Amino acid sequence: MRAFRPAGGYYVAGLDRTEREVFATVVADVAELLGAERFRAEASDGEGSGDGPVPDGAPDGGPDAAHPGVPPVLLRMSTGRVAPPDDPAVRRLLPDASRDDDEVTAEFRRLTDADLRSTKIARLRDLWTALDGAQDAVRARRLGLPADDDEDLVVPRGDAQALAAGLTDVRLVLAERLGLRTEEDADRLYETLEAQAAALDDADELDEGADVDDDRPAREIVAAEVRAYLGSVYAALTWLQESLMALLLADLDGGADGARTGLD
Amino acid sequence: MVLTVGGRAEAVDGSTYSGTVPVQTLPEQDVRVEEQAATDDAWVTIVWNDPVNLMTYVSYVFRSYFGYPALEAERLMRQVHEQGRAVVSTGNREQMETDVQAMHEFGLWATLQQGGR
Repeated sequence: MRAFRPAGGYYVAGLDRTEREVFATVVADVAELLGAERFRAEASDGEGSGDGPVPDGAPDGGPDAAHPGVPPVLLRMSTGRVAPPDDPAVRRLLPDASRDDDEVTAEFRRLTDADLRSTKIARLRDLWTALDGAQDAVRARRLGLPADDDEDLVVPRGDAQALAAGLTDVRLVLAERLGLRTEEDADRLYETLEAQAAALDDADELDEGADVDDDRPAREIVAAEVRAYLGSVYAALTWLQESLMALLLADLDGGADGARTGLD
Repeated sequence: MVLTVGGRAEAVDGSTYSGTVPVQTLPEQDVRVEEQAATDDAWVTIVWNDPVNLMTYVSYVFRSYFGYPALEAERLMRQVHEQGRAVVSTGNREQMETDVQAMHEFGLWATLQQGGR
């Protein structure tokens, strides 16, 4: 994975196919938590990655045509009470607007819940699409970028803020699943990841001798593996977002164009 | 908030991810006490600290959404980080609902309340 860098009117990061697929899956998962249908590739995409049956023959926007996912503006505001999300991860994306006033919290949810969900889902859909390597290869070719070594993640500068916000939502959900409530929790996650990386290196040297003396119950091992997986995705997305923020802040400083282009 | 630091993990243009990213909490700093311009019946928007949002991202949001100059955005970001929260805007309830909605759109943890407190 290579950090975001400016390229003309775009920001470009280097992600390999595996990274793209892992990130895209997590992005689609978060959108589903918010109530979106499972994201699917456009019908024109001939080389699907084989992750399940893709309904064929559905015209553009097919399932949505008779049942629009986003109601007209006037219908989006609920007239009744909107219950807070049960899932703590979703509740972190749609938090209470008051700490001690239930009336303020309820009124805020009634007014904003549907809008916030559709904004976040739309951003996640764009991020998911950007992670679709086939599309980006086409875009990279059009831009004259080298499309050979890495499959670049190409984002128009005007879309970068939305992409950063989408990355934030994904990281918030991952952090909730990982139980990151304090900065010490986050520190511990990184310590664990480093230890695991070191252990993996050792295991590579010993050639598959890794789990011989692991006498934990299988359930615990699986839980630890899931945690390691989510943790490494969280760490990677954090790093990627940090690289994008450096560029976005430089843009605000007015050093957007020219300043960096000469630095290779 | 999260600050990623350090040589090999530094996310500068085109650098390569090394697989691990250290997290570091900033040392205590002397921060001015927030001057509370709010009167008792005014509403305020408060942003709360969390262990996920990047310090650069929070600064960016304060600058791009509220239009704070870089130094003021940085000061408010550090106040959130070090004191756990900061008042980022003041107005009537409807205005604060708009600001809180915007913060939630960005993924920041924000609340509104009446009075500065």
